[in-house]
Amino acid sequence: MDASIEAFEQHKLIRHENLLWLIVAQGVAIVPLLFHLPLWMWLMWLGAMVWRLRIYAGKLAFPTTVTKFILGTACVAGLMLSYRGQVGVEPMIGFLVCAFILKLLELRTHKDGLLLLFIGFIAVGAQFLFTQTFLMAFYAWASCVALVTAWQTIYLTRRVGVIYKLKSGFLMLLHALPLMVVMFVIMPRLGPLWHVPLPQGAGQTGFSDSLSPGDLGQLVKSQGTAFRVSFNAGQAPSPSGMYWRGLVLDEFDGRTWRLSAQWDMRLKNGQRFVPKPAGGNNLMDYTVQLEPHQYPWLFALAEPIKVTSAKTTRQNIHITQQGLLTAHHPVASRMQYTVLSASADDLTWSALGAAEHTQLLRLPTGTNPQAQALGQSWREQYQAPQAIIAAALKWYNQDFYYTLEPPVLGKHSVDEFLWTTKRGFCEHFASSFAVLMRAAGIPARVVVGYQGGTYNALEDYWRVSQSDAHAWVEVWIAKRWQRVDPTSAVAPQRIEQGIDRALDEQDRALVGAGHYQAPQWLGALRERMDAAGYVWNRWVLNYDTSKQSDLFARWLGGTEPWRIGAAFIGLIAVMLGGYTLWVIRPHGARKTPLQKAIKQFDKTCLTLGYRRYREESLAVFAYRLAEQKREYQAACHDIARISEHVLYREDHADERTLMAALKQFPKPIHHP
Amino acid sequence: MDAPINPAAIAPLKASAPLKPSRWQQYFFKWIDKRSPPAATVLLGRKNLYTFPTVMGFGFLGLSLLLWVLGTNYQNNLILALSYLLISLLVVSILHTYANLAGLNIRVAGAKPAFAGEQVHFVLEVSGTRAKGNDNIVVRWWGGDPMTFDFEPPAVSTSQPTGTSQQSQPITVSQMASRRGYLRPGKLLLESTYPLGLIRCWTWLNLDACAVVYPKPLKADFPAISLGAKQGQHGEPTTGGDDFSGLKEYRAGDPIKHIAWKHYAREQGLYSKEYASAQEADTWLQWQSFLHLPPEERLSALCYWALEFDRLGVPYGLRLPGKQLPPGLDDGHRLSVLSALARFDTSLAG
Repeated sequence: MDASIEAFEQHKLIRHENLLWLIVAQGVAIVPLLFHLPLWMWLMWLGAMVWRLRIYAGKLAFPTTVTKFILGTACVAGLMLSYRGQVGVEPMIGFLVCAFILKLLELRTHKDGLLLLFIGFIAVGAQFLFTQTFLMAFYAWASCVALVTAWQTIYLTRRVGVIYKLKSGFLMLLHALPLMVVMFVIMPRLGPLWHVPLPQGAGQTGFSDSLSPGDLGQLVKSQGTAFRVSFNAGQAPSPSGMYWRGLVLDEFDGRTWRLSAQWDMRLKNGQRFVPKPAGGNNLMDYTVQLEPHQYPWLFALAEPIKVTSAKTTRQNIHITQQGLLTAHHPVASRMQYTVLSASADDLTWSALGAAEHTQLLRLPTGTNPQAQALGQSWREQYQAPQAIIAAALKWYNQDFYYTLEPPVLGKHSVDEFLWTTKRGFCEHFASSFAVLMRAAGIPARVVVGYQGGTYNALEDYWRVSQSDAHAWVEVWIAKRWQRVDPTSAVAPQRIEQGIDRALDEQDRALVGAGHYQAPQWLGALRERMDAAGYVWNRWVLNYDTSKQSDLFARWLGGTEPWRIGAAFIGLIAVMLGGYTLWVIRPHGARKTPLQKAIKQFDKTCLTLGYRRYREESLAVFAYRLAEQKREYQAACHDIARISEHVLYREDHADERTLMAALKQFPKPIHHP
Repeated sequence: MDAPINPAAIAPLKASAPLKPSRWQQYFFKWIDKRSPPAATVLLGRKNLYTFPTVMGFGFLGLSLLLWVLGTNYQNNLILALSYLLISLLVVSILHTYANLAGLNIRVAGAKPAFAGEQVHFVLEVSGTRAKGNDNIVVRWWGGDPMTFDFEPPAVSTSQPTGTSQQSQPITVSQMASRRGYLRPGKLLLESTYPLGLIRCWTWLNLDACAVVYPKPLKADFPAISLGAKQGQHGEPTTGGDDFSGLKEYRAGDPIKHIAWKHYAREQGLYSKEYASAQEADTWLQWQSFLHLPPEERLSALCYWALEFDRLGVPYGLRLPGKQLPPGLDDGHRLSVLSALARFDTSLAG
């Protein structure tokens, strides 16, 4: 009796096949995390796998309690060293992965296997703290299939193929999917329950808070998406009018433009402009979906008057005095916000303060003497600011050349650019133009951001990529800020048609090999992928309380709790009913076409008053029927004969003939 | 049933503690008795299957909630979606676990008789209609040893166009027989946590099963003197006759040609064969021969000698109060003797 109990308990041990599945599933779940963790964890993982397989082979023993303790302590110490004692998301995930890996070494029983799989699901969830793209979600789905399949093999004692196992794991998850969607859509969303640290994330992308010659040229070569915009109501402006303002740089040291010291992004909330009471004709309402760039500044068209952020972004957004948007924290995860922008004509502006005026005219003495002299000469020559601007733009239009690979500039960068090299990129034009304006006595500042965008007709949005990065100038004329883009004087195509038109062959190759010369189908595919990503971000990642209420209002006609509850219960009931029919089907072995034909034949015979008994074969019954019903003799004999053929020859052609004969009974079959 | 039984090989009777269902279980069993009276064939379905999460099931729910908290705190919709997926998986696994048992048909095929103190092997025939088959089902009698089985899906073949034939699969479930007589094995438990071990689906079946349990053979001296003597029906038996009448332990002075060499060769001790005279030609196993033993042990001793004579090839008869079986020597005879011993009501003997 004891022996049999022991033998029974043996069933609950992990078998070799389980072990392999568990190792595979663990690998699938763990790999995306390992890329975010210290490198030694790869080695640890490999070591644990080798050790466990050696245990299986009988070459090594399970680790003792002491060994396990030492290993655990070593892992914690390693994590402390790697992260220098910081407490954050990465060390926590590192700890989780360590536990996950070490669990492999004490994998003995079914229960251990289940615990391993449970940690696996947490690991899949942890992946989403780093990446939330559509592809990542797809990968996570695949990980879940691997985990569920490994899980099922623990309890599966029959020998079945790998494909069968994967299929049944996949099907099980597929059955769970509709219920998940219902819960995802309907379950109420709560705010964060307590404060949690955010992952440190990747390096910063986009431009920084200073602009030197050559900065944007590097950025333009990147193909990444900066943000996507959909205009909610009204016409979108033409791409040439889309100047997405990011930062205003108003201090110049002779070479680099920076933020002035007085300018504080966070606190200043008093706007320089207020909407005119009669205005509002040219309002633009649009939603921006910003990719994380690890900086606090956001992008908007001039001039933003109202901004709201989606709940999932967990950040408040302010409009600064300079009409810029800023978030409380650097943008570490994808963020979505809706902006209302008014055109400058509809706003009332307050005057510049004296200090500010001085700041906006300041040029470091002794730098770029030629440019300063030229600006001053213009001031004396033209007086009117408009005329000065026109003169400057005309100057640029003479023999300047727009290129991505300008010559390197020295200390007096503006002078060298204006008189020597005459080849440059948008930041050269903007920088020199602002210097000329200041020298001519017009308050000027450099604005960096993006210009233009690519329309995606599939989902009706604009994609602004890093290669759309741009710099331009704003000048204070007629008591308001006006945008001047000196680049358009040199390379109007840049503004009208985007950067790829403005560059020559050689430069185009620099802007991401193959990106602009991609075959059409690839371009279309890329557009489709981008659209899918956009929809994913918009509807899945940013699905929040407000979207939920919109959806309820549209589908259920209201957001009262009873409606939601009724819808939830109704959907669940329908779904469970469906499952019950589909999954359970108590006698639901699927019938083959032949079995169906036989059933039909039995029915026909029943209407004639003859019942085929359970143990009676088709042939025996047909002969019996032929005896009693002479008129059907031919058909009956055919059926008997063919059914015996099917039985003994196992020929599919016979099977088809039999099905035909059964179906058209009591008519005899046509002999060909 | 037909396997030769060596009484000496039977393990000594284990004193198994009487198993009693807990109070909760007693209520549950009473409820089951009301719902389903004993039957020889039971079809598993929603009337007799029960489901409840296992410990691991609750653990998994906890895991899903943990992920939900993580997703809520990070406002991460994908982690929330994962937690909902796991909860849905738990719900769906209820149905999968149920479907794994539903539709199974359990029929009592019979039981091999056994001796008290042995396991009685009940044979059940299982058949199912599920195309995927039924996996990892644990089955045991109340208080018995568990065993697992898989029901292989009926092979879909074109060679059976009638589609009516259902393959069935025999499984053997053992129950300890502690006393001789009839063994009713109690309720049959069928349970499964397949496919994920999160949900346990089970049933307690009232199966109409019964097995005959022979007395546990007990070695005792065969009192040769008393062979039919007290009956006085066949005259005075005389030891030293021609007919073999029994064995007794060898005593100095017994004739050497009467020594049971076969026994000696098997190292079962030195016995002398005793021969009764012609008047008493038959060997009788008699209730009265073992009067010095308590009644149950008396039956055990009779059982031992019945098996022994059967093995030695000596025809033997059985005389019990109110029951007499004439001497014979074949499998059928042995079985009727053994079952007479099994069924004997000691209260009849006074």
